Amino acid sequence: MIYNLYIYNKHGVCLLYHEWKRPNITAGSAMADQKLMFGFLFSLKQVVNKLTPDSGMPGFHACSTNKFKLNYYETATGLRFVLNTDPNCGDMRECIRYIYSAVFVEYASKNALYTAGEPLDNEQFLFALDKYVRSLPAFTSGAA
Amino acid sequence: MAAQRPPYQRLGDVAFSKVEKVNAELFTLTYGAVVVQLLKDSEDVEQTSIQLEKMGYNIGVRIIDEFLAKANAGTCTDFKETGEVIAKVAFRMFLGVTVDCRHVVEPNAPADAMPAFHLIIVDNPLVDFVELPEHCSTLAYCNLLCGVVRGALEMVGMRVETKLLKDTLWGDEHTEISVSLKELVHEQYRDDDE
Amino acid sequence: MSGGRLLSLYINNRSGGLIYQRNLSPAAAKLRDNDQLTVASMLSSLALILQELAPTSGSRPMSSLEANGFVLCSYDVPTGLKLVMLAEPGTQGLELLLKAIHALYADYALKNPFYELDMPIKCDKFDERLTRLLHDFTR
Repeated sequence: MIYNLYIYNKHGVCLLYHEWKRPNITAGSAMADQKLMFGFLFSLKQVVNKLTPDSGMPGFHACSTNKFKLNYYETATGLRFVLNTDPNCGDMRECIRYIYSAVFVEYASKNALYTAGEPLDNEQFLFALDKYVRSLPAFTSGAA
Repeated sequence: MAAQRPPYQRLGDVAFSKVEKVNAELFTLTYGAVVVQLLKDSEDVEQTSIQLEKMGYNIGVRIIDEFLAKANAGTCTDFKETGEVIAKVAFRMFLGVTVDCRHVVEPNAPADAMPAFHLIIVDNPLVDFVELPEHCSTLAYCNLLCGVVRGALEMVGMRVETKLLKDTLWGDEHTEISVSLKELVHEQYRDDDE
Repeated sequence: MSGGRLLSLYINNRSGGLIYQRNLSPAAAKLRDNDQLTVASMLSSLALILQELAPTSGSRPMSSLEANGFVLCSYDVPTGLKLVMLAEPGTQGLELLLKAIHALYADYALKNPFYELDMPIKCDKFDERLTRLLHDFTR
């Protein structure tokens, strides 16, 4: 099951929040939830980099609880993608990279009318995103 | 329908079979020696009862990890189940005895009253060969057990009140301990930075 | 059986305070004492925040983390004790290992009457038994 997606820019602005299924929300508002997520990612990244061995690459790509898996991807430009799935979804890095390259870059970066840093509400983008995510086998698998 | 309930008796037996055993006489004698010394030191029956409960509490906060690590009992869904697990698995594992758990509902209690259960110990090893003399006939000799239950449950987020209700040393037919839930403690870590 | 190598072990008390730390490989990141305390405490609070961010109900705190340079497995005891193991990517069997370490804690720390709950664990027997357990794991 794929629950929801967050896209942030490097300044912490939430460019997109989209959900397919979210039975539970703890934070008071969507804004509080998005801020909490960004704060979490920021702090976790710092901790991870302190704990990474000298020989290892910095950064992380996933963390899980018993009920869900947070899949993370950060681009060189500081764009951060968070895709929450059920814990058994496996490695979602390729899927997120596809969302970045084929969907985001196509419909956002290349869209002359889209200003970087603005929230993404481009209909074509949302349509393509939704279509892609629903087509994934991970979307229908896993417990809710 | 009891069919789906986990077989706690069996878990208790398995746990008991795996732990190291100590000579029962030595155990009874050691406990007795502690009680007598406490009485001598304080010369106060009530104080001794309280001290025994405190000692039990200190044991309880440590023994819970032993139980969680070795008994494989899983998570309880409600306080009733907690009582069952304590009676059938924990007491069996640590004292070697099978204990009964009776759930208690006060006749005039409101619908949302906090739950309680009674632990009934028939063959209590602590009291083997013990007789309370006249001057300390009100001593809660088995108060250690009350403290152990209180300490152990506190460590897993349940604040309870325990009380020794009956004791063979008081002329009753068995040892009976009441355990009533007072508060569920949910630890929440709040970020101080806001 | 296990594959991969262990990097470091952290044990936190119920308040997220570090009570035991051991680096298990020369490859492990070397942190100053202060940093270790901060990192350990952050691991506890981040674990709880991830629980809050869960899109479904019934989530417990973070139990695993896949970083690019290591994997992290966390085992939470109902008493609030948290055992965290860092290892090289691909290492298996960490949860069982942490459960075994919990059993060692129940024995060599808790049964030592001079060990005070929630305080740093300074028990030689715990260290020795832990060394032996880890040695068996990595063989």
